[in-house]
Amino acid sequence: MRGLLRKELSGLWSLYRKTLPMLAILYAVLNLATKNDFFLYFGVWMMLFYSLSGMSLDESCGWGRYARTLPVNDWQVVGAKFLVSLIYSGGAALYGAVLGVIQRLFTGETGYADLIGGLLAVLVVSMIMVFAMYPVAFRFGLEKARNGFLVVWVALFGGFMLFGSRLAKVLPLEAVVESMAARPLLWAGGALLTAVAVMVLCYIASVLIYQKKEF
Amino acid sequence: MSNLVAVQGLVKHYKGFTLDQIDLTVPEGEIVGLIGENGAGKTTTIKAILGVIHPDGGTIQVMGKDPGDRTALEKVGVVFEDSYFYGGLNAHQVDRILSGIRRDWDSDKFRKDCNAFDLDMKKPIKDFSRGMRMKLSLTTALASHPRLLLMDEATSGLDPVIRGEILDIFLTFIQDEGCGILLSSHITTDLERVADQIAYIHRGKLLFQQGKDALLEETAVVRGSAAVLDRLPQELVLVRRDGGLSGSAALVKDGAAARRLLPDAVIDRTSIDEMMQLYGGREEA
Repeated sequence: MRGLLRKELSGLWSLYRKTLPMLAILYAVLNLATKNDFFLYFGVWMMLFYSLSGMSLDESCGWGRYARTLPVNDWQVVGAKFLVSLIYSGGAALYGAVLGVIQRLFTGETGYADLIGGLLAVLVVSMIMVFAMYPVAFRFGLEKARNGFLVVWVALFGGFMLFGSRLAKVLPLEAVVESMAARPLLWAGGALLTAVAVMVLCYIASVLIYQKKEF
Repeated sequence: MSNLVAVQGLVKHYKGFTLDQIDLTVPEGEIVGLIGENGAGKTTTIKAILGVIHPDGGTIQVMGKDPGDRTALEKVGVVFEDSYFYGGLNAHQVDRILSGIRRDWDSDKFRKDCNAFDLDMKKPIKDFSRGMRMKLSLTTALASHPRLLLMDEATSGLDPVIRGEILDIFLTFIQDEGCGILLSSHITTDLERVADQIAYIHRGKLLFQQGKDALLEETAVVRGSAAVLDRLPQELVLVRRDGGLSGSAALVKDGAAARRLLPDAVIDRTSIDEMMQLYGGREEA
């Protein structure tokens, strides 16, 4: 497992060794200059999607076939990918938190709860998006999975734009917002648990799909 | 002598192609050359042996274990023509990665072999020539002290000097009686040089697996008109091809017997190449 993790991290680093430090600096500058946490949140989302690129590296070099000849099992091969996504997203969230704190120390602003809440929210949503993409990518390839998910998200956002006002009348959105404000820890814990549950389910689905694959 | 690989009745169906009832063995201490035309089923057979694909029938044992068994794979080194690590990585990273995967990984041997092959440990794999990539693949396969090497077109596209170096490595490796190699190749001269046995797959079926020396010494090609070849007894003829540019030809299983029967006919020693050409364009004998 240690070797597989090294392989994933080394591959991604060789691909993004110029991009990642550049983005880290860019987002830090933008965050400090605009005093806007958006760039910190966006970094988390970006990193999770970057972690998916390991699959396209695999597809380009026939890694799947080679991996089957190594003394590792399918749970480990797939597990390494999920772990790397966790490491990337966790690292980005931590970096975002540090930058957010520095920005607040410089500007004298508070709003630490907003920072943590925002990072947590984007982490949860990104995790659900990316981990849900893994089984589809293992089944149909990364490009098709990305395109498919783009269509799904465009449809979701489009639907929200078109029917959002009607939905607001039907769904108890205000009550939800009030509840979130009253019990932030409960909601945060619930959201994180949901993301973890999605991750576990998607991991199992990915392994089952991967086991049936032939290279 | 026991078999490192034993394949019995292997069947795999694809749309438009079937690997049909393949029986194949790789005995300890021997190099088995796997030959066949493009698309004949050589790579499919190797993939089935490694557990990369799931067969539809038959049994496969690799050192007494099922394909894909992790303890067996610890003792198997593999070189595929087109499957390895991502090209952005270098040999040093491959070393670190595989030291975390393979229990018997020998970093010292890997580095020493890379050095002997003039492979720059820090250079990205994608910047290597094809020959250097194959050398790196082979070095990787050997660094965990395998008992079995499976090579799929490991020498194709390489110049004769590099091929010679690689074949020498095979011959050194096989000095250990407990080791064996299954080597698929289109370059039949390589197989004539190093293989102990030849297995020929033609359109998804194994035509034969036989000792190379016996195969090349006993069989012969009889050339002449169709009328001359008609005089050969059916049981002697393995395959016959009529109407080629150089007339008709027949591959016979016993060259000496053919010489006795047709003292005036042209009877040549055969080569694996010619054997493949005769089978490849075959008409039923």
